[in-house]
Amino acid sequence: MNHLIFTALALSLTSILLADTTPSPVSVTIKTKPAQMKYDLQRINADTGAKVTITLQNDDDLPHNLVVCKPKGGVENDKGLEVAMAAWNLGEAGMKQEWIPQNPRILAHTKMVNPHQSETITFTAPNVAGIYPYVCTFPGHAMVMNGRLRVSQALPPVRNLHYRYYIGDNLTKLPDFGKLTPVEEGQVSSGKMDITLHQKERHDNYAYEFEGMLDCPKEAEYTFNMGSDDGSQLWIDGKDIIKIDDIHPTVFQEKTIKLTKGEHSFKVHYFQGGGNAEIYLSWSSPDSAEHWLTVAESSLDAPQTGKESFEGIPLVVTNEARIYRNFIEGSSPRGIAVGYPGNVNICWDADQMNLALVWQGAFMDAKRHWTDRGVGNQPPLGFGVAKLGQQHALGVLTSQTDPWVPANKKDQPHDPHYIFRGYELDTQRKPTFHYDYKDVAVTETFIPDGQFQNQTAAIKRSVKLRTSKSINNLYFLALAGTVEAKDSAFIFDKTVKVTTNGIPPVARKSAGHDEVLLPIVFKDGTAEFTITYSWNLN
Amino acid sequence: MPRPIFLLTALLITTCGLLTQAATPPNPKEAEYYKIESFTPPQDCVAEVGSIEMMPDGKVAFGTRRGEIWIVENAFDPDITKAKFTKFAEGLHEILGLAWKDGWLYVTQRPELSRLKDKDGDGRADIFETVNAGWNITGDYHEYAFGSRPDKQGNIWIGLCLTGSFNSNAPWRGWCVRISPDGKMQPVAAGLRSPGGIGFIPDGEVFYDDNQGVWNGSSSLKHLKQGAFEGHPDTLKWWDLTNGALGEKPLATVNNTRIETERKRNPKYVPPAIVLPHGYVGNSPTAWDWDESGKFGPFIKQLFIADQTASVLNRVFIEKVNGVYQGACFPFLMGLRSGPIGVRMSGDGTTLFVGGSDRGWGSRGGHPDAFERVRWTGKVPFEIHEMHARPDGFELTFTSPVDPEIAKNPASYTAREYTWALREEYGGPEVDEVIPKIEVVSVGQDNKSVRIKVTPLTKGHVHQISLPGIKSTDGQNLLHPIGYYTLNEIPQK
Repeated sequence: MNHLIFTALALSLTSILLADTTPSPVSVTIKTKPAQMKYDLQRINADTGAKVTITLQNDDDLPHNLVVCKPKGGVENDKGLEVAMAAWNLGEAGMKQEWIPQNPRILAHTKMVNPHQSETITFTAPNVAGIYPYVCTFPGHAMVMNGRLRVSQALPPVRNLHYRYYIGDNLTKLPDFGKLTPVEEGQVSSGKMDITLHQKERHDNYAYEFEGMLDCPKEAEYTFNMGSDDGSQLWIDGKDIIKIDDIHPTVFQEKTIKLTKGEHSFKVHYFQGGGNAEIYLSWSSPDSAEHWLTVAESSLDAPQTGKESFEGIPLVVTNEARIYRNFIEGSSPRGIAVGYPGNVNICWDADQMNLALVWQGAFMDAKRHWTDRGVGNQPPLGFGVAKLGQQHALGVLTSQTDPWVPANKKDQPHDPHYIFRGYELDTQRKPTFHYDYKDVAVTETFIPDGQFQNQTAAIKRSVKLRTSKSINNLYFLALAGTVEAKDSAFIFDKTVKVTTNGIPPVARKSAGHDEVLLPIVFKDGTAEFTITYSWNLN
Repeated sequence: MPRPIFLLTALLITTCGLLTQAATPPNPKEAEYYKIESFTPPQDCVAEVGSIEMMPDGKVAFGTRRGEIWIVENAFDPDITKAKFTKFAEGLHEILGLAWKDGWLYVTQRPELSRLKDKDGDGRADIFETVNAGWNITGDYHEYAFGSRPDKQGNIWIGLCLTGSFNSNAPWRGWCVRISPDGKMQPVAAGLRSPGGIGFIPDGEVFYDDNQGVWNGSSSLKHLKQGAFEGHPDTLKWWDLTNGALGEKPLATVNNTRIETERKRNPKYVPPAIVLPHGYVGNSPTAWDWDESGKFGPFIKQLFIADQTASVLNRVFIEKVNGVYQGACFPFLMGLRSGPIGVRMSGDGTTLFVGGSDRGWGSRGGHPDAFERVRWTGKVPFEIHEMHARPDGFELTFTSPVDPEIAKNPASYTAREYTWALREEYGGPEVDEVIPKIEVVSVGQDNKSVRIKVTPLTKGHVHQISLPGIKSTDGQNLLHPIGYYTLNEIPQK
């Protein structure tokens, strides 16, 4: 109890102390990484009360948004999933409200930003320090598409910052500043060190000395992080803290020291020999994010605001599998997409009797097919899409060097030996596909495996064959394309790791690409094996 | 693909043309006799109805363009808001055919004929068995598949639209195929363009309606039989795959000819049985059904055929003359809410269920989707009942007696005969107009029929007979004083 009261008191004192400090506005551009379902910036900082401007630049081919959430007490490592799930649960209605649920945790948000568009939002960082997660609330994205806005107490720049500028002669090390005479000197009102203050343009052989006072808001462990090209040295209270000497590209050094509340003398030396000239110095504390004591270089042009609103019809998979038959990019026209609970998805190709696609994350966007006339192929909505090809899985090869059997072509009569028999659903609506090849009856079932949340998602394909007649030289084409053997598994197209179980795989080169075959041997008229596709390539 | 796109534009212009030409608001006079009521599906149901079927226990099923199947309970309740909707299946691909048989729901969807069953009894299908997937789809949006109910032998007939509605780019595009109960596919007829519905007429024969476009100057209802050729020559490229089962290959249709000329030249060519004159009664015919109980009014065994663009039901009277199907089309009921695609008469004949969508092709109804029911109020409208061809003209019957003095007067009638060029370009033109002379031969003793002599009669032409002056004995005008008779054959007597 006493401790709590003390903390509250300390906080209010801090507020009083910092009342003079206007929080610096923050302006960042967060880009979406193409085909990775991630923001490029997963950590941003702002002072309490600061004006925050975030531009979401969507470089991906899927629509995304960015929703900044208030912290939720008692949640470790909160990533805003609760808010994203509220959006997800809106179902089709979510589309109309741009996947923004009615939720008290929402602090600020963009609209859905279409591919290759951007949108800028501005809001004020709350006066309560903490971690404010930001997340894409489009169904299925939040697990990996998130980041943290750290709102913390401001740390002031250097008070009474004074600079002296010197011209040197063939500088290769920090000079003895006592022997030099400044060419220029003056106050730096921003309190941030700047090595471009000198009047005459000069690219090499110069030096700066900065002096002033650091006002520590409280007693704490302060971390100073300095980088420079070329040399630099930092003193606090006359003590040598960091020294980066000699000529080199920018090199950083970090040091943590305890400082009492109140003022401390501050001095930095810097020299430029030749080439690039840079200096960076920041300080931070357990209660305050990194604050720069050098001139920041983050002023970007204000991006255009995307005017089009997003109008997708995402098919949301909840606690049951969901099927979508339509034209799916990467499959023959008889595509049967299945989204499974656990954020793994497949597309079964009922023209070829084979698996055409596996992917993770969100399932399908039905907008293309459910608006207007429904023209064209729709790619999966999620990510990690492995295009396994459009060809038969089963075939007879008289020799293991024969090329694989020809695929069914969409404009020619199909091979009558492959007959699709449909599927049945289990209690979780997961389908088991049935087809016949010659006298062999085949079933395929898919079972989600691994954990999407910790990025070990996988799906296991269980294949069972049954025949009452003898059939020789029957093969199952497990993989075809770019295949790399790794340990006892195969990496397909640098996208998925594939392991087979039940039949030893035979890897071969055929028609200029890699293939993995499973020779089928029946025992009592049956054969079975599994193939597992995982996105964790390690 | 610049050409189809250009032609598509032509279609859209034509469609817009109809909206000014044939558009009329819901007709309060019709509503005295037939009442249209709209169901309100739940929020998660987008009722883009593609097909409707009657289920056991008075339930009604409909399949949608989004690939869902919904079961509606209490669909016959006088209070339409009592209807309860339950989703039976989802994830199918554009459903345009539903048929209930022996505990299975047969579903014609774009890639296949499937049959569905709810094995565990939770109200949702869990078995999706593929009965047959023997036709190609190339990924083109226009390659629709319309499926019938089973015929008497248990075969389901499926009309397969062309690729892009212009060409047959893969096996069996532009064909009718028949799927036997054991799941075998038999190609039956070639030359289809863009079916909008397929099914049976009361004598059990299979018909489909083809939509106006290439080789179809107007939409029409056409007879399907083994070995028939319906006119689109590109489909003949797959004829040899039938291995002689359909006999000799038809001749390719000659461009810019006439239906009657082509009939004489090309024995396998089947002329449209009933032309649904483009722009006069609609633009895009879809499904139909009929009643034989009399509970839907006096039009027993006549077809009620929907039009997707005009949001109407038309009425079709069919007869067989010299072994060839032909007959007349009459306007029947306007004011449907969306673009009707699925139509089904209830087993008891009391209720015609209609549903549809205007997606991709606008409809007068103006709503994106709808599920509705139509019922007879019990009041008999004053209408042309039937229209029969006679050796020298037509015999028209009426639902109630006509004023004989007016009916005897030839000035009470006007007529026009015309046809459409048979050609590879999209749609029209209407050609070869003839204005015949009309004489009244006799008025029936009960005043419920009129024999008119029409000179000349022109084989292959639509004979449009208007009766603006005809009145009932109690002074009413005909509700729809016009009929369009397609005269393929002239009877001997």
